[in-house]
Amino acid sequence: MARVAFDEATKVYPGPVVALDHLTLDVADGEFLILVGPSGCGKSTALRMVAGLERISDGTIAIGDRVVNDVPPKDRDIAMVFQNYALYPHMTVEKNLGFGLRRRRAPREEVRRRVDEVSRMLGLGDLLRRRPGQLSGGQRQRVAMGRALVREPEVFLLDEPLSNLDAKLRVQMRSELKRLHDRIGVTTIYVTHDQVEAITLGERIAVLSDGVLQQVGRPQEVYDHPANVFVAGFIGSPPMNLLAGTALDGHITVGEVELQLAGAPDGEVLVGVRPEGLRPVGSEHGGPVFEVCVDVVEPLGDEVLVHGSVAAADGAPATEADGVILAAETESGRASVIVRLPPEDRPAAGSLLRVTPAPNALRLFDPESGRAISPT
Amino acid sequence: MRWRSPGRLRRVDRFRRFLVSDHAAGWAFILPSVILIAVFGIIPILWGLILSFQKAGLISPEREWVGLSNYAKIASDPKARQAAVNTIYYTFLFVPTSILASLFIAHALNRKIAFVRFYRLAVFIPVVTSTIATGIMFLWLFDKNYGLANWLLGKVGLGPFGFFEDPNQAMIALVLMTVWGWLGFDTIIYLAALQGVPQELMEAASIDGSSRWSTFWRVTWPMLGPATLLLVVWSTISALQLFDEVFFVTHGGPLGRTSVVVFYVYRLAFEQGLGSLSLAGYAAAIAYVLFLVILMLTLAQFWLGRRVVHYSS
Amino acid sequence: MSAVTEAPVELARPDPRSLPGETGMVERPRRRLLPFDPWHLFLLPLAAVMLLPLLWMVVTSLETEAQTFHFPPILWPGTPQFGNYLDVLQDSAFTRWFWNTTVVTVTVVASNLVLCTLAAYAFARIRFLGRAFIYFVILATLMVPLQVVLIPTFLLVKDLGLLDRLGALVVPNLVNVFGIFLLTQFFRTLPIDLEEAARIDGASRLSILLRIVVPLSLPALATLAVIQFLWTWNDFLWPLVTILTNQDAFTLQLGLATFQGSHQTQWHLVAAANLMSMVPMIVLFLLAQRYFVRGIATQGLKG
Repeated sequence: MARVAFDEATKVYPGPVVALDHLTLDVADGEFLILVGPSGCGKSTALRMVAGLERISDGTIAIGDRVVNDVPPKDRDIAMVFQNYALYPHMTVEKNLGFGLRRRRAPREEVRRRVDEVSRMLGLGDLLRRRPGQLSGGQRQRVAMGRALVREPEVFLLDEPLSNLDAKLRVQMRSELKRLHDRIGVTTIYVTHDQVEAITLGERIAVLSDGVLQQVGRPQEVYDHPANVFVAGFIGSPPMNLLAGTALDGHITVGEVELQLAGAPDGEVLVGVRPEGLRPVGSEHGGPVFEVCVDVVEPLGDEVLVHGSVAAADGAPATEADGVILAAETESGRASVIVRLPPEDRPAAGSLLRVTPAPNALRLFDPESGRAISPT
Repeated sequence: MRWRSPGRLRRVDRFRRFLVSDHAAGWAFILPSVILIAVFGIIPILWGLILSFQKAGLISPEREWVGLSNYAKIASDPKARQAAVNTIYYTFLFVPTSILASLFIAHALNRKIAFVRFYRLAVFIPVVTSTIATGIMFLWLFDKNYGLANWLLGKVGLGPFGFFEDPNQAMIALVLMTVWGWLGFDTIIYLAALQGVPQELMEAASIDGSSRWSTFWRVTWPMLGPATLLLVVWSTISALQLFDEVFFVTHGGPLGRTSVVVFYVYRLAFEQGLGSLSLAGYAAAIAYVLFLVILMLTLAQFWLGRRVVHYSS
Repeated sequence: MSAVTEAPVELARPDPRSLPGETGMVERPRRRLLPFDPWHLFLLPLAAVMLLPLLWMVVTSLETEAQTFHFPPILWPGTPQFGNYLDVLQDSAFTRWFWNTTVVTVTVVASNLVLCTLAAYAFARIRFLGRAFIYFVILATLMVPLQVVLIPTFLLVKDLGLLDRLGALVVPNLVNVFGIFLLTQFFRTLPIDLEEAARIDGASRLSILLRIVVPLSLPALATLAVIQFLWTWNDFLWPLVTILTNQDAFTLQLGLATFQGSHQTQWHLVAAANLMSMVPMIVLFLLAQRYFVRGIATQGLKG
């Protein structure tokens, strides 16, 4: 059984800087879990604590049945793929792959068998005699993966393994990783700051921010029902539109538009809707209509992104996505929104685009805590 | 603006163009240095070669062309042979001792323990003491009768030693003294190299199941290859050129047992050769032979090093 | 329209080797036999051995002559004889030697700073006819060891009439090829954009060098100055060979060696003289450690 259990795991650096704040999370045996969040959110720290590369300040981490707080890395039966690969530069690929097994005194036949198998699996056969310095980035990445695979560990740890690759290679490697996991089925914890990577790869994703776990769940679930404003803004690109509204008696008023939406207590509320959740409508439409004053139109080939503003107060706090704070600059009384349209629709800049929220596309958040309000 | 005929620039303008061009600037910047280097660097190198083919006096103007006989003389000169043997002996003792010691020390200093800055200081300071100052310190420390060394060694039941005054010990005492003076230098280089080993590699090795000793031997040590090669070459070159300490502390003695090549060259040219003997040419020849030996050794060490050392990308 | 601002830079993971206390890899809990890190057992004696010759000099310099001849050696004189230092100054031309060495060293360092900077800048940034060839030839001279040029340079200096004078120590060392190498390597690492912008603005090469490159190169220049200072101050062989009879032109090292020769059994005085001669370099070292270390590391690269 190789599950990984974080129980109030905490890491505090001298400062004091709290890198990880009481993380409690269970990774099931054979699961592919992704830790995702912006830079500095604690995801790498959590991973390194599982590896034993960082001491645990408080709480416990268990691998399988035993608590491993005081167990040195080499006794944990884990394997790790580093962001910069950490290949031994003076050894051939073959030696790199076999290093771990030889350190554990595996018989030579066994080492050769496993190295052969893994190099076949990852297409490294031609590279066995070369040194890391002679390989391309993608090849090095595969060797790093191979080194981890050869060990047949209980847990696989990957620390942003694709971030040093160019975009095309990244996409290719993503599917290869998925295929590998399907085939081998080892418990895997994967760290990334790229939320697209997280959604496409993970069985479950755990979103972290400032050392605190924000939400954990299946990618689609996290996308559709973000637990708070941070997750709403971080997951999904472009981020969810957030507008300030007032709730009263089962209605919510956003700017001049009235929405029939129950579930929020009377008072201030944040209304969220994803760019694809706003559908364009004609002038005769009956339901609630937002008039978007079109600012910039971005044709992307398979879709069109319309950036504009509506007559409402902006509900988006400064959100962080990939380390970039998007501070919405609005004229007084108007909020910026983004609308996703099919590629044929190309409104002109400065024109008025009328949209209505699709059924079940609206999400409610408490403006104080940022937490989602579940609809009744 | 005066109109100039197109095509042919007048000579004045071409000159003016040259003056402000990069060529003029470049040469202006390097000229003083080049002149000095030509006069005090290149000319002496060539002149030394010429001298080695002459029977030349140092103060006297005697210059007699003798072809290769100076070089031939070296082979039959027992003092030259002794100097060569002494120099090789010294080098063989000095190089491994200083490199192994500094590796160990650098490893010890590369950790986060209390007082590490004090320890580093203590190791580095001897580098700035001059050869004479060091010589004086060790002459006194190793004094046969009143020196601290014999007293301390006596406390653990060893000695007393003659050190610089004992023909069999003098060279070893010289090695101890010069290693003391150079440890800091080697340690700095090894320390820098150790700190250049990426932390991630050690982490990967640890995860792979490697113990501390195994990680040092299989991961860290190979990555120190370039630094080790450098230190071996550098230390060998310095060792072969030992002079100051020999001159000041033992003056080649006792019984010529510490006479090294550069010291012998000096003696020939500046002590024996100052009088009526014209030995400057012979001395120059010996100097050139040493130069060739150093050159070949350096090339050999680099070539050997390239095959053994793998530079990380 | 959105404005985009950069988030604070990610907290770089500190290198565990530099942090005090409990950070870094989990290690197998070891039974602590000692209340401190066992490496101290090696490092402390090592530090003692490295500092012993210096400390012993200090002790000896404060003893009376009779005390120095005591065996077993006296580890601390009852009353420190500070007068020994004065005796040295009176008994010898120590101040003269010190002055000579200072003059020579300062001149050589200053000259090197100027000439090496000019030449290095040209080699690094200016395309001129013959650049590669000249650079190669210059660097080649670094390969030639001192003893090869010793005799010819002596003859040269003699022919120039500089023998027995401070000029013999200064003139041949006005430019040091190693300094040119050091600075050329360094200048090459500076971003060229700044200089190109200045050229477009019409600045001359010299003013680019003085106003842009030099201010950015202060650490490298400091390193060069410190290394050159060390070499010149401690140089023995060259003064030995060129200053033959003129005692007025003795440098500190030469004078010290003579002093030891003439006061062979007066160790209390010799120790005092020795310490006085070491103080400037030790002080310089303590103040400029960083540059020494950098200079040595670069010296290593030359090989």
